[in-house]
Amino acid sequence: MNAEFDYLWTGEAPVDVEVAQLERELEGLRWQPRALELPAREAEAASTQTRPPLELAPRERTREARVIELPRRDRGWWPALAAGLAVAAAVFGVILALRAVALQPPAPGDAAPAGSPSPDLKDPFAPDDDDPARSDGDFERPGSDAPTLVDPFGDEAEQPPAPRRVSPDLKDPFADSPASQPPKRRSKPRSKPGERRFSPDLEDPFAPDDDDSNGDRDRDRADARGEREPGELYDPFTGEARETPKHAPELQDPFAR
Amino acid sequence: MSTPPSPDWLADVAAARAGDEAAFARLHRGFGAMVHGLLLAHVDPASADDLVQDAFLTAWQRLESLREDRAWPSWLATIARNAARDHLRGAGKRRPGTLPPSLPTDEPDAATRVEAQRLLERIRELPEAYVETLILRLVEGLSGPEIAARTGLSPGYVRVNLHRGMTQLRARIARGDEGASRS
Repeated sequence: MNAEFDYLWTGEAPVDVEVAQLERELEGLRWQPRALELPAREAEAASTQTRPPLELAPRERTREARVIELPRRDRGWWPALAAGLAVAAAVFGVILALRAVALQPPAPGDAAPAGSPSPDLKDPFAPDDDDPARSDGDFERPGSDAPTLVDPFGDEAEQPPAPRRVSPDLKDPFADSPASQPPKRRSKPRSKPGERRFSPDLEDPFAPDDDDSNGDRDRDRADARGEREPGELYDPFTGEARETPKHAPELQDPFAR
Repeated sequence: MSTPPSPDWLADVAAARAGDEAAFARLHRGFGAMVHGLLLAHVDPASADDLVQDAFLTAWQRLESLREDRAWPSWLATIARNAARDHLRGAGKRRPGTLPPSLPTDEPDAATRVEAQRLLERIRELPEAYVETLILRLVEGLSGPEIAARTGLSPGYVRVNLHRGMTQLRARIARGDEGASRS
Protein backbone atom coordinates (compact mmCIF):
# COMPACT_ATOMS: atom_id res chain seq x y z
CA MET A 1 0.00 0.00 0.00
CA ASN A 2 1.37 3.37 -0.98
CA ALA A 3 1.96 5.51 2.06
CA GLU A 4 1.37 8.72 0.18
CA PHE A 5 -2.26 7.85 -0.50
CA ASP A 6 -2.84 6.19 2.82
CA TYR A 7 -5.04 8.68 4.64
CA LEU A 8 -5.32 6.39 7.62
CA TRP A 9 -1.53 6.41 7.99
CA THR A 10 -0.64 9.98 7.08
CA GLY A 11 -3.85 11.88 7.84
CA GLU A 12 -3.40 13.88 4.66
CA ALA A 13 -5.14 14.04 1.31
CA PRO A 14 -6.64 12.18 -0.43
CA VAL A 15 -9.14 11.81 2.33
CA ASP A 16 -10.76 8.52 3.14
CA VAL A 17 -14.42 9.35 3.60
CA GLU A 18 -15.12 6.61 6.08
CA VAL A 19 -12.11 7.41 8.21
CA ALA A 20 -12.88 11.10 8.11
CA GLN A 21 -16.46 10.36 9.22
CA LEU A 22 -15.17 8.44 12.21
CA GLU A 23 -12.81 11.26 13.09
CA ARG A 24 -15.65 13.76 13.17
CA GLU A 25 -17.79 11.52 15.37
CA LEU A 26 -15.00 10.91 17.88
CA GLU A 27 -13.62 14.42 17.93
CA GLY A 28 -15.67 15.32 21.02
CA LEU A 29 -13.63 12.88 23.11
CA ARG A 30 -10.31 14.44 22.20
CA TRP A 31 -8.01 15.59 24.98
CA GLN A 32 -8.14 19.23 25.99
CA PRO A 33 -4.85 20.37 27.56
CA ARG A 34 -5.12 21.75 31.01
CA ALA A 35 -2.58 23.49 33.12
CA LEU A 36 -0.48 21.05 35.07
CA GLU A 37 0.10 22.00 38.66
CA LEU A 38 3.31 20.50 39.82
CA PRO A 39 3.91 20.07 43.52
CA ALA A 40 6.47 22.21 45.12
CA ARG A 41 9.82 20.67 44.96
CA GLU A 42 11.74 22.98 47.24
CA ALA A 43 14.26 20.43 48.38
CA GLU A 44 14.81 19.17 44.88
CA ALA A 45 15.08 22.70 43.53
CA ALA A 46 17.77 23.48 45.99
CA SER A 47 19.67 20.36 45.13
CA THR A 48 19.32 20.84 41.40
CA GLN A 49 20.91 24.31 41.57
CA THR A 50 24.16 22.93 42.89
CA ARG A 51 24.44 19.84 40.74
CA PRO A 52 25.15 19.81 37.01
CA PRO A 53 22.07 19.26 34.81
CA LEU A 54 23.20 16.18 32.90
CA GLU A 55 24.98 14.31 35.66
CA LEU A 56 23.25 11.73 37.68
CA ALA A 57 23.99 12.99 41.15
CA PRO A 58 23.04 11.03 44.22
CA ARG A 59 19.46 11.69 45.12
CA GLU A 60 18.42 13.16 48.41
CA ARG A 61 15.26 11.13 48.42
CA THR A 62 17.07 7.89 48.10
CA ARG A 63 17.20 5.85 51.16
CA GLU A 64 20.43 5.72 53.01
CA ALA A 65 22.24 2.59 52.28
CA ARG A 66 22.41 0.37 55.22
CA VAL A 67 23.84 -2.98 55.72
CA ILE A 68 21.16 -5.50 56.18
CA GLU A 69 22.32 -8.56 57.94
CA LEU A 70 20.48 -11.51 56.66
CA PRO A 71 19.37 -13.76 59.45
CA ARG A 72 21.18 -16.96 59.61
CA ARG A 73 19.21 -19.79 58.29
CA ASP A 74 18.23 -22.25 60.85
CA ARG A 75 20.04 -25.28 59.61
CA GLY A 76 19.80 -27.14 62.87
CA TRP A 77 17.32 -29.62 61.55
CA TRP A 78 19.42 -30.66 58.56
CA PRO A 79 22.19 -32.46 60.48
CA ALA A 80 19.65 -34.08 62.76
CA LEU A 81 17.68 -35.32 59.79
CA ALA A 82 20.79 -36.69 58.12
CA ALA A 83 21.87 -38.46 61.29
CA GLY A 84 18.43 -39.95 61.74
CA LEU A 85 18.41 -41.23 58.18
CA ALA A 86 21.84 -42.78 58.62
CA VAL A 87 20.80 -44.54 61.80
CA ALA A 88 17.63 -45.80 60.18
CA ALA A 89 19.61 -47.11 57.21
CA ALA A 90 22.05 -48.90 59.49
CA VAL A 91 19.27 -50.52 61.48
CA PHE A 92 17.53 -51.58 58.32
CA GLY A 93 20.74 -53.12 57.00
CA VAL A 94 21.27 -55.08 60.20
CA ILE A 95 17.72 -56.38 60.00
CA LEU A 96 18.24 -57.48 56.41
CA ALA A 97 21.49 -59.24 57.31
CA LEU A 98 19.92 -61.12 60.20
CA ARG A 99 17.02 -62.10 58.04
CA ALA A 100 19.33 -63.44 55.37
CA VAL A 101 21.17 -65.50 57.94
CA ALA A 102 17.91 -66.87 59.28
CA LEU A 103 16.69 -67.87 55.87
CA GLN A 104 19.85 -69.75 54.95
CA PRO A 105 19.24 -73.43 54.40
CA PRO A 106 20.73 -75.76 56.95
CA ALA A 107 24.00 -77.55 56.27
CA PRO A 108 23.75 -80.96 54.60
CA GLY A 109 25.00 -82.80 57.64
CA ASP A 110 22.81 -81.01 59.99
CA ALA A 111 19.29 -82.29 60.05
CA ALA A 112 18.33 -80.33 63.06
CA PRO A 113 16.09 -77.36 62.41
CA ALA A 114 17.53 -73.85 62.21
CA GLY A 115 18.19 -72.35 65.51
CA SER A 116 20.04 -74.00 68.27
CA PRO A 117 17.72 -75.92 70.47
CA SER A 118 17.56 -75.29 74.06
CA PRO A 119 20.32 -77.14 75.87
CA ASP A 120 17.74 -78.38 78.33
CA LEU A 121 15.80 -80.22 75.68
CA LYS A 122 17.21 -83.45 74.38
CA ASP A 123 16.57 -84.79 71.03
CA PRO A 124 14.57 -87.93 71.68
CA PHE A 125 15.75 -89.43 68.44
CA ALA A 126 19.40 -88.68 68.92
CA PRO A 127 21.68 -91.31 70.31
CA ASP A 128 22.66 -90.59 73.84
CA ASP A 129 26.01 -92.11 74.65
CA ASP A 130 26.05 -90.64 78.10
CA ASP A 131 23.05 -92.54 79.29
CA PRO A 132 24.25 -95.66 81.14
CA ALA A 133 20.74 -97.15 81.25
CA ARG A 134 20.64 -97.60 77.59
CA SER A 135 22.10 -100.66 76.04
CA ASP A 136 22.73 -101.64 72.54
CA GLY A 137 20.09 -104.35 72.56
CA ASP A 138 17.25 -102.34 73.85
CA PHE A 139 16.81 -100.02 71.00
CA GLU A 140 17.13 -100.34 67.39
CA ARG A 141 19.24 -97.50 66.58
CA PRO A 142 20.10 -96.31 63.25
CA GLY A 143 23.64 -95.89 62.31
CA SER A 144 25.61 -93.75 64.63
CA ASP A 145 26.32 -91.36 61.94
CA ALA A 146 22.96 -91.69 60.30
CA PRO A 147 20.62 -88.78 60.62
CA THR A 148 17.66 -89.20 62.84
CA LEU A 149 15.21 -87.55 60.51
CA VAL A 150 14.09 -89.45 57.50
CA ASP A 151 13.63 -87.71 54.23
CA PRO A 152 10.28 -88.91 52.95
CA PHE A 153 11.17 -88.05 49.39
CA GLY A 154 14.56 -89.66 49.38
CA ASP A 155 15.57 -92.92 47.83
CA GLU A 156 14.41 -95.78 49.83
CA ALA A 157 17.66 -97.57 49.48
CA GLU A 158 19.52 -94.66 51.01
CA GLN A 159 17.14 -94.17 53.81
CA PRO A 160 18.29 -95.58 57.04
CA PRO A 161 15.79 -97.73 58.71
CA ALA A 162 13.56 -95.84 60.95
CA PRO A 163 14.35 -96.31 64.56
CA ARG A 164 11.87 -98.41 66.33
CA ARG A 165 11.55 -97.71 69.95
CA VAL A 166 10.32 -100.48 72.07
CA SER A 167 10.19 -100.88 75.71
CA PRO A 168 13.35 -102.41 77.15
CA ASP A 169 11.25 -104.98 78.94
CA LEU A 170 9.69 -106.37 75.86
CA LYS A 171 11.42 -108.21 73.20
CA ASP A 172 10.75 -107.14 69.75
CA PRO A 173 8.48 -109.81 68.34
CA PHE A 174 9.21 -108.73 64.84
CA ALA A 175 12.91 -108.72 65.14
CA ASP A 176 13.38 -112.00 63.31
CA SER A 177 10.46 -111.78 60.93
CA PRO A 178 11.21 -111.39 57.32
CA ALA A 179 9.04 -108.26 57.24
CA SER A 180 11.45 -106.53 59.49
CA GLN A 181 14.17 -107.29 57.07
CA PRO A 182 14.77 -104.79 54.39
CA PRO A 183 13.10 -105.89 51.22
CA LYS A 184 15.29 -107.55 48.74
CA ARG A 185 15.71 -105.46 45.79
CA ARG A 186 15.66 -107.32 42.64
CA SER A 187 17.60 -106.03 39.82
CA LYS A 188 15.45 -104.95 37.06
CA PRO A 189 15.46 -107.55 34.37
CA ARG A 190 16.49 -106.39 31.02
CA SER A 191 13.63 -106.90 28.76
CA LYS A 192 13.26 -106.37 25.12
CA PRO A 193 10.85 -103.80 23.85
CA GLY A 194 7.39 -105.14 23.73
CA GLU A 195 7.96 -107.63 26.44
CA ARG A 196 6.13 -107.46 29.65
CA ARG A 197 7.93 -105.97 32.54
CA PHE A 198 7.03 -107.03 35.96
CA SER A 199 7.12 -104.79 38.97
CA PRO A 200 10.18 -105.52 41.03
CA ASP A 201 8.04 -105.81 44.10
CA LEU A 202 5.90 -108.52 42.69
CA GLU A 203 7.28 -111.92 42.55
CA ASP A 204 6.85 -113.70 39.36
CA PRO A 205 4.53 -116.53 40.19
CA PHE A 206 5.91 -118.45 37.35
CA ALA A 207 9.46 -117.78 38.26
CA PRO A 208 11.30 -120.57 39.89
CA ASP A 209 12.43 -120.39 43.48
CA ASP A 210 15.98 -120.05 44.44
CA ASP A 211 16.13 -123.74 45.13
CA ASP A 212 14.42 -124.65 41.91
CA SER A 213 16.20 -126.49 39.20
CA ASN A 214 17.59 -124.72 36.30
CA GLY A 215 14.92 -126.00 33.96
CA ASP A 216 12.61 -123.12 34.31
CA ARG A 217 15.42 -120.84 34.21
CA ASP A 218 16.45 -122.26 30.96
CA ARG A 219 12.95 -122.09 29.71
CA ASP A 220 12.75 -118.48 30.61
CA ARG A 221 15.94 -117.88 28.88
CA ALA A 222 14.71 -119.71 25.87
CA ASP A 223 11.57 -117.73 25.94
CA ALA A 224 13.56 -114.60 26.25
CA ARG A 225 15.60 -115.64 23.29
CA GLY A 226 12.42 -116.41 21.33
CA GLU A 227 13.02 -120.08 20.96
CA ARG A 228 9.62 -121.11 22.19
CA GLU A 229 7.14 -121.38 19.48
CA PRO A 230 4.29 -118.96 19.74
CA GLY A 231 1.09 -120.62 20.73
CA GLU A 232 2.78 -123.38 22.51
CA LEU A 233 1.18 -124.09 25.80
CA TYR A 234 2.73 -125.60 28.79
CA ASP A 235 1.64 -126.70 32.10
CA PRO A 236 2.54 -124.05 34.63
CA PHE A 237 2.70 -126.52 37.43
CA THR A 238 4.83 -129.09 35.80
CA GLY A 239 6.51 -126.94 33.25
CA GLU A 240 5.93 -129.45 30.56
CA ALA A 241 4.57 -128.53 27.22
CA ARG A 242 1.08 -129.47 26.53
CA GLU A 243 0.15 -131.04 23.39
CA THR A 244 -2.77 -128.95 22.54
CA PRO A 245 -3.93 -127.98 19.14
CA LYS A 246 -3.24 -124.49 18.26
CA HIS A 247 -6.55 -124.12 16.60
CA ALA A 248 -9.76 -125.93 16.09
CA PRO A 249 -9.35 -129.06 14.05
CA GLU A 250 -12.19 -128.13 11.73
CA LEU A 251 -10.36 -124.95 10.78
CA GLN A 252 -7.73 -125.18 8.27
CA ASP A 253 -4.94 -122.78 7.95
CA PRO A 254 -5.76 -120.82 4.81
CA PHE A 255 -2.18 -119.92 4.32
CA ALA A 256 -0.96 -123.42 4.62
CA ARG A 257 0.28 -124.88 1.41
CA MET B 1 -4.11 18.02 15.33
CA SER B 2 -2.56 18.31 18.74
CA THR B 3 0.62 20.13 19.43
CA PRO B 4 3.52 18.00 18.26
CA PRO B 5 6.38 17.55 20.66
CA SER B 6 9.22 19.88 20.26
CA PRO B 7 11.94 18.53 18.02
CA ASP B 8 14.32 18.60 20.88
CA TRP B 9 12.08 16.77 23.40
CA LEU B 10 15.16 14.88 24.46
CA ALA B 11 16.61 18.08 25.79
CA ASP B 12 13.34 18.86 27.52
CA VAL B 13 13.48 15.50 29.21
CA ALA B 14 17.01 16.10 30.37
CA ALA B 15 16.06 19.53 31.65
CA ALA B 16 13.02 18.20 33.41
CA ARG B 17 15.14 15.63 35.12
CA ALA B 18 17.21 18.49 36.36
CA GLY B 19 14.11 20.16 37.74
CA ASP B 20 13.10 22.46 34.89
CA GLU B 21 9.33 22.83 35.21
CA ALA B 22 8.94 24.75 31.99
CA ALA B 23 10.55 21.90 30.09
CA PHE B 24 8.26 19.48 31.81
CA ALA B 25 5.26 21.62 30.84
CA ARG B 26 6.33 21.37 27.23
CA LEU B 27 6.52 17.65 27.59
CA HIS B 28 3.03 17.72 29.10
CA ARG B 29 1.58 19.52 26.11
CA GLY B 30 3.40 17.37 23.58
CA PHE B 31 2.63 13.97 25.08
CA GLY B 32 -0.69 14.65 26.79
CA ALA B 33 -2.74 13.44 23.80
CA MET B 34 -0.83 10.17 23.72
CA VAL B 35 -1.44 9.60 27.44
CA HIS B 36 -5.12 10.53 27.08
CA GLY B 37 -5.61 8.14 24.15
CA LEU B 38 -4.02 5.25 26.05
CA LEU B 39 -6.28 5.94 29.01
CA LEU B 40 -9.39 6.14 26.79
CA ALA B 41 -8.72 2.56 25.70
CA HIS B 42 -9.50 1.40 29.25
CA VAL B 43 -11.47 4.00 31.21
CA ASP B 44 -14.30 6.40 30.58
CA PRO B 45 -13.58 9.88 29.13
CA ALA B 46 -14.22 11.77 32.36
CA SER B 47 -11.83 9.63 34.33
CA ALA B 48 -9.30 9.75 31.52
CA ASP B 49 -9.03 13.56 31.81
CA ASP B 50 -8.19 13.27 35.51
CA LEU B 51 -5.86 10.37 35.02
CA VAL B 52 -3.81 12.33 32.51
CA GLN B 53 -2.92 14.81 35.25
CA ASP B 54 -2.13 12.02 37.67
CA ALA B 55 0.12 10.27 35.16
CA PHE B 56 2.18 13.40 34.54
CA LEU B 57 2.43 14.09 38.24
CA THR B 58 3.69 10.56 38.76
CA ALA B 59 6.19 11.02 35.94
CA TRP B 60 7.40 14.29 37.50
CA GLN B 61 7.91 12.62 40.86
CA ARG B 62 9.61 9.54 39.43
CA LEU B 63 11.62 11.27 36.76
CA GLU B 64 14.79 10.37 38.57
CA SER B 65 14.15 6.68 37.91
CA LEU B 66 14.24 7.23 34.14
CA ARG B 67 17.53 5.70 33.03
CA GLU B 68 17.72 7.03 29.49
CA ASP B 69 16.13 10.17 28.00
CA ARG B 70 15.25 8.26 24.83
CA ALA B 71 13.04 5.92 26.85
CA TRP B 72 10.76 8.81 27.88
CA PRO B 73 7.84 7.96 25.46
CA SER B 74 7.60 4.28 26.34
CA TRP B 75 8.25 5.03 29.99
CA LEU B 76 5.40 7.57 30.06
CA ALA B 77 3.09 5.11 28.20
CA THR B 78 3.77 2.53 30.86
CA ILE B 79 2.85 5.01 33.59
CA ALA B 80 -0.43 5.75 31.74
CA ARG B 81 -1.36 2.10 31.42
CA ASN B 82 -0.58 1.48 35.08
CA ALA B 83 -2.75 4.42 36.06
CA ALA B 84 -5.63 2.98 34.04
CA ARG B 85 -5.21 -0.40 35.65
CA ASP B 86 -5.08 1.06 39.14
CA HIS B 87 -8.18 3.10 38.39
CA LEU B 88 -10.07 0.02 37.27
CA ARG B 89 -9.06 -1.81 40.42
CA GLY B 90 -10.34 0.98 42.59
CA ALA B 91 -13.45 1.72 40.50
CA GLY B 92 -15.57 1.94 43.62
CA LYS B 93 -13.55 4.82 44.97
CA ARG B 94 -14.49 8.12 43.40
CA ARG B 95 -12.51 11.22 43.98
CA PRO B 96 -14.43 14.43 44.76
CA GLY B 97 -15.16 16.56 41.78
CA THR B 98 -15.25 13.70 39.30
CA LEU B 99 -18.58 13.15 37.61
CA PRO B 100 -19.61 9.49 37.19
CA PRO B 101 -19.83 8.54 33.54
CA SER B 102 -23.44 7.38 33.82
CA LEU B 103 -24.83 10.84 34.67
CA PRO B 104 -25.71 13.01 31.68
CA THR B 105 -24.09 16.40 31.30
CA ASP B 106 -25.65 19.76 30.48
CA GLU B 107 -23.44 20.36 27.49
CA PRO B 108 -25.28 21.10 24.21
CA ASP B 109 -23.40 18.42 22.38
CA ALA B 110 -24.35 15.78 24.88
CA ALA B 111 -26.01 13.67 22.21
CA THR B 112 -22.88 13.84 20.16
CA ARG B 113 -20.85 12.85 23.14
CA VAL B 114 -23.14 9.89 23.79
CA GLU B 115 -22.87 8.78 20.18
CA ALA B 116 -19.11 9.16 20.37
CA GLN B 117 -18.97 7.08 23.51
CA ARG B 118 -21.01 4.39 21.82
CA LEU B 119 -18.54 4.31 18.93
CA LEU B 120 -15.70 4.24 21.46
CA GLU B 121 -17.21 1.13 23.02
CA ARG B 122 -17.16 -0.56 19.62
CA ILE B 123 -13.50 0.26 19.22
CA ARG B 124 -12.78 -1.13 22.69
CA GLU B 125 -14.26 -4.46 21.62
CA LEU B 126 -11.36 -4.92 19.21
CA PRO B 127 -8.09 -6.55 20.27
CA GLU B 128 -6.01 -4.43 22.60
CA ALA B 129 -3.20 -3.79 20.08
CA TYR B 130 -5.70 -2.30 17.62
CA VAL B 131 -7.62 -0.31 20.24
CA GLU B 132 -4.80 1.98 21.33
CA THR B 133 -3.59 2.80 17.82
CA LEU B 134 -7.11 3.43 16.49
CA ILE B 135 -8.01 5.70 19.41
CA LEU B 136 -4.78 7.65 19.01
CA ARG B 137 -5.56 8.01 15.30
CA LEU B 138 -9.32 8.58 15.23
CA VAL B 139 -9.89 10.27 18.63
CA GLU B 140 -6.69 12.17 19.31
CA GLY B 141 -6.06 12.89 15.62
CA LEU B 142 -2.43 11.71 15.63
CA SER B 143 -0.93 10.43 12.41
CA GLY B 144 0.81 7.12 12.13
CA PRO B 145 4.35 8.49 12.36
CA GLU B 146 3.35 10.63 15.33
CA ILE B 147 1.87 7.62 17.09
CA ALA B 148 5.12 5.69 16.56
CA ALA B 149 7.22 8.60 17.82
CA ARG B 150 5.14 9.33 20.92
CA THR B 151 4.59 5.73 22.00
CA GLY B 152 8.05 4.42 21.19
CA LEU B 153 6.61 1.74 18.87
CA SER B 154 7.97 0.94 15.45
CA PRO B 155 6.23 2.63 12.47
CA GLY B 156 5.63 -0.72 10.77
CA TYR B 157 3.93 -2.09 13.85
CA VAL B 158 1.69 0.95 14.14
CA ARG B 159 0.74 0.90 10.46
CA VAL B 160 -0.19 -2.79 10.45
CA ASN B 161 -2.31 -2.38 13.56
CA LEU B 162 -4.04 0.67 12.12
CA HIS B 163 -5.14 -1.11 8.96
CA ARG B 164 -6.12 -4.37 10.61
CA GLY B 165 -8.00 -2.54 13.32
CA MET B 166 -9.79 -0.40 10.78
CA THR B 167 -10.85 -3.44 8.77
CA GLN B 168 -12.37 -5.08 11.82
CA LEU B 169 -14.04 -1.83 12.94
CA ARG B 170 -15.71 -1.44 9.54
CA ALA B 171 -17.02 -4.97 9.72
CA ARG B 172 -18.45 -4.40 13.20
CA ILE B 173 -20.08 -1.13 12.15
CA ALA B 174 -21.59 -2.83 9.11
CA ARG B 175 -22.98 -5.66 11.25
CA GLY B 176 -24.34 -3.12 13.70
CA ASP B 177 -26.09 -1.17 10.99
CA GLU B 178 -27.62 -4.33 9.57
CA GLY B 179 -28.88 -5.31 12.96
CA ALA B 180 -30.35 -1.89 13.54
CA SER B 181 -32.06 -1.85 10.14
CA ARG B 182 -33.64 -5.30 10.71
CA SER B 183 -35.01 -4.29 14.07
